[in-house]
Amino acid sequence: MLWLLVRLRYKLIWANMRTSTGKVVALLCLYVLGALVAGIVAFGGLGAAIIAVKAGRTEPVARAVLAALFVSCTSISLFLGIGPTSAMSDSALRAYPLKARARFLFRHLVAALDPIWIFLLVAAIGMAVGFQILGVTPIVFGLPLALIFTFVCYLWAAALLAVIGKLLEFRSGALILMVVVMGSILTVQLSAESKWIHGPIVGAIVNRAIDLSPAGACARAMVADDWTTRLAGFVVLLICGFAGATALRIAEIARSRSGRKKKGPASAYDAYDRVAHRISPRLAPLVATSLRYHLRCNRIRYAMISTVPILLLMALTQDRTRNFQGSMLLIILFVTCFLSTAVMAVNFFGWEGGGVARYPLLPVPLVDVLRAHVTASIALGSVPTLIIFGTVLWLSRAALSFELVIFAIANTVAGTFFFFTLASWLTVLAPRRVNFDGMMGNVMSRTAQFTIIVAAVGTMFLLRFLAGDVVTLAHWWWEMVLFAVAMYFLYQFSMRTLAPVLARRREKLLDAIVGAPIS
Amino acid sequence: MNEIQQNSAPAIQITGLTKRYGDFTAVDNLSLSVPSGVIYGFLGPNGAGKSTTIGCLTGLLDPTSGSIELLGERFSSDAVVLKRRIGVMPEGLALLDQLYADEFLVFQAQMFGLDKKTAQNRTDELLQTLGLADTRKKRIADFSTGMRKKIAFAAAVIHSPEILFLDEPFESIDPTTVAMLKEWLRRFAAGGRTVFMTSHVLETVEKLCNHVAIIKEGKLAWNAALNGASTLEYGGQQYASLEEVFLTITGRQDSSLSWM
Repeated sequence: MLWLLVRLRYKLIWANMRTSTGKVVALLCLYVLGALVAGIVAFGGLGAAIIAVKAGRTEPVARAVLAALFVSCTSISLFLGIGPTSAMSDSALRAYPLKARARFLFRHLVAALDPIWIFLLVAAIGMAVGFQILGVTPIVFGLPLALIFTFVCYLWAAALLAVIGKLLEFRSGALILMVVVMGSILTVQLSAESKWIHGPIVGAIVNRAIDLSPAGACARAMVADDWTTRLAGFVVLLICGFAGATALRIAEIARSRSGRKKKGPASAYDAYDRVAHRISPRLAPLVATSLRYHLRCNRIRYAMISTVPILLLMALTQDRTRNFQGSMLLIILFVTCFLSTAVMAVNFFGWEGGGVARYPLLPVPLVDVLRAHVTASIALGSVPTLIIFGTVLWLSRAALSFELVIFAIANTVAGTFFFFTLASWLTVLAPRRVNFDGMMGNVMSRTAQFTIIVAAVGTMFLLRFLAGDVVTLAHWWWEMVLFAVAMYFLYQFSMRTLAPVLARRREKLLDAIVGAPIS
Repeated sequence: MNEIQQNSAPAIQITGLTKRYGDFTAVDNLSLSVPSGVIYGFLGPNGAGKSTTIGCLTGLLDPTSGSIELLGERFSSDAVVLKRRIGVMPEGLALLDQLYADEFLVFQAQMFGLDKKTAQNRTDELLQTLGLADTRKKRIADFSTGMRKKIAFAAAVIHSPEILFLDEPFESIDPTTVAMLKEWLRRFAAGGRTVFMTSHVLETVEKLCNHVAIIKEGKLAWNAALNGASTLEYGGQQYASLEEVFLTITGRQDSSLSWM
């Protein structure tokens, strides 16, 4: 039965892909590209193994690399929704003669096959191969360890997402989450600046905690000097996996038991409408609806809550040289305005499920609906942007020149319109039906994942590189202003170009969203 | 609902409407004229092309060929002004699930040009009448099938359209509400407006509709005015009920399954 369902899952993916011209080619290209990236990642793992052995600190380096991989994959999953996917929902699987445990196992086995976890697996395998070549660990032991480590990481990330989803169901959940995130960040910040953290007792505690984490346990099982320690590491890794699975199961059961709270303003015309009317009087009802969709979505709420502290952490845990402050300002502001709503922005219509068929019935051009969504997204994204901009500006007021501030603002505007131009095209060309209530689930199309990772994150790194010398960069402030204006016109031009494309693709869009199963 | 002037021109004029999906022809050269002020039943077996026709008539789908005139004006999917004059309850209902019931209705009303106050008043009235007042602050996603249907119906009529397209309007709704909706539709048509509806419940159609058309494999097979006639004519023969005509046109199916 499980095998039949796995086949069904991939048949559905294939069925979705072949429904429109060119998608098959795109799919193949992306998978070829994915294979290339996987190759690079594998060599990265291999390189890490070699460095670890050559440096004579095999276990600490292996542990650090595995921990970094786990943190990166989990962070990407939390922010962009890549990674743990519910694939076929539990309610859909109830149609088959499967027990609850089998449904749970199937969903998460399939989910762990998503690209981000495959990359983690490939990197871990690369490392295992490196240790085999260098004679540290036989591959027959390293390979299963890499597999188990990946699945355990997935389980931990999935459990974390499920807990966050559960928290956000409560009225005070968002506040609790905000306190937890801010508290963690403040702790890290205070720890980084405190001499106490470098003391032997704290060091030992931190070391022990990492030892007991999947990364520490896997590293020990892979490269410890004696087999007894390796076995102990393996057992700890299994216990980590069991703990992750149990936490995930408990969180999922708790989620399914809870009912949605009925709440809302007395009048249907409320703050959303008033804000929308101020933002765009012409599109006010559409903007208000889009704002409601954004702010009722747990993923967006989570992203909105975590964007500010996480990006501020990036700014606060580094040295405060003039160059650094300038480059951080550029990088952070480039991404903030779209980061919190990016998951929805690359597939606006997909979040509405069958409701998307309402829009062609309305007496407005379909492109106006897209404009309203983008307007709402930019409006929401500007809130964390303003907070971060104000904080960084206040912290570095002495270090930043007027030109650099103008440069940074123009950079933000340019980044925002650049991203929303891409996102609008993705919304129209790569629509995908999404489970609105799910915290887990790979909600983006392959094309959208590729765009966000390569275009947005890649541009961010490019900026980091360019911003090495911000003093020189600041001289180009007016060029950046011109660039921002150009990006704004690119966005407007893109919307004009999109209007007929959207009208032509209306039926395909409806087919993809209304007709396709939730994945 | 306000009375409107009886118009001599047909409310809906379909000429040579064809809709193809690749090699499959869902609607094949359909021509139909629907007068104003009637309740028009559009019938057919599953997959006959009823919903596709409604999709083309309301702007959800683009016809492959043929023309559509609504209220004397040529209709296409980008005819935004004309869309204000029609109300639609489509197949699948197309509800914005994350909105509360009242938010959705106010949104719908505003999109069709009603001011804030009127939108709010009509929303309150519709929710009250349809027995949904207690659930106004509930997400539509959490509604039962029948409640979803009621909300979709309310959204179709809230701006007081001149033509109402209803795809399977009475399915899953409780009998009390069905009786009320039927009464609304009769008043609606008596005021000079037009209802174009599909249904599989032939008894209801026979009692409610003034005109009926039956479509089979995308082609118009029969259309006639009912107007309380005791017998119906098809192919030169008289039939006692609409069901008889329907089964004659669509063909009776062998119901034997050896393994059951």
